[in-house]
Amino acid sequence: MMRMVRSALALLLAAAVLYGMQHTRPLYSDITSPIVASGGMNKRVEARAFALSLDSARVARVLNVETYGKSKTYTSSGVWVVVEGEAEAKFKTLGLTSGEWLSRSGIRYVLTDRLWATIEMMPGDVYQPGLPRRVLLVFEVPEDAVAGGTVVVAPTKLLPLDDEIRIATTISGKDIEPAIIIRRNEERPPWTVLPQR
Amino acid sequence: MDSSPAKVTSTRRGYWLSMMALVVALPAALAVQTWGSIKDWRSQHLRQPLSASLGQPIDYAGASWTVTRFTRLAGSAGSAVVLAEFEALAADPKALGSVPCEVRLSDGSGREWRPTLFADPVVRKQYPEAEQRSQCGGMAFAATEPGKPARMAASFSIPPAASGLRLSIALYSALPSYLSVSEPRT
Repeated sequence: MMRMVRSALALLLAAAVLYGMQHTRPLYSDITSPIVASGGMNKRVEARAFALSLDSARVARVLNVETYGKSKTYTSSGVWVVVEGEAEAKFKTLGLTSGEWLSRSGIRYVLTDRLWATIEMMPGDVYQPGLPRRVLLVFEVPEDAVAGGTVVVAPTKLLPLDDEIRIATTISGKDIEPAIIIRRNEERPPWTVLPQR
Repeated sequence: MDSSPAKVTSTRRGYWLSMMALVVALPAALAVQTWGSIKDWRSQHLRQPLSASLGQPIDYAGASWTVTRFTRLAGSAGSAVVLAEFEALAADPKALGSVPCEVRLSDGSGREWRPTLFADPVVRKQYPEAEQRSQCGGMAFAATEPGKPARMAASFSIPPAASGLRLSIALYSALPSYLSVSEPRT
């Protein structure tokens, strides 16, 4: 009799353990999520394969892009976030193809695709080990997604367990400029953000 | 319940046989499951260099390869530029045309550079003929007649302080072997 009770208890315990494991099992996307390195503005944040520092994050209602003597105005129902910094590959030549603006509420905004033909942004560049390179990221986001936003950069969004750097900006959301000019340069860095601060 | 000594012995034997089978079956199952990944990892990471020096022909991947130039130049924006020119004499160049080719430059500290898509202006100025050469791979071999060498070039943008440079040329059909040439001492 005691033996049967013991067996039944062992069976119940096993079922409880299995039930618990089933309900606390992490999702595949959690297991394979990127390995994140975090930091703040004006600091070099190091991931395994690359390093990134951001030194400027500005917000404007209108974006003017000047290339080859022509100026084009980009308006938006939201605002433009223009971020500048420096990136460097550590061991191997790589590209940084993914840039996102992560709002405080957790919504992700990818880089704008409205400027591709006019200005060289981060995903179009190649980063060589030992040669830091200036990066430009431009996002078009709703005004309420600006304050406390974080810039998220990764070599790719496709590879599991890849590197990701998150840099928290210090933008309050109140210092929105009426307009910002991005002027294309012939020399490096290939752009200048005006008016200079 | 039958608890005769013979039945107990038989149960124990079954138990230990199962345990021993588990010791064999578990690693075997893991090996079968991961064999493809292990093969992929080996092909990507375990490589055997075929060392050659500048100007010395060496047989590799069905062709005779010669690195004819391996030089360092002062590049723009504080970088250094490494220009490598090499040629491959193959009996059937078209056969090599479909084989992916990987050219890399590495230094003594393990950093690795891929060729730049566009040559630095200093290459265009000092070695204009190098810019006319194809990068390693299909284009170079497709445009070559049998009996004539396919001429190729690669330029790299590196930090000026990088030392102990080695050029590697790998054709996927000849992996894990690859050609390795050290920077000549000046």
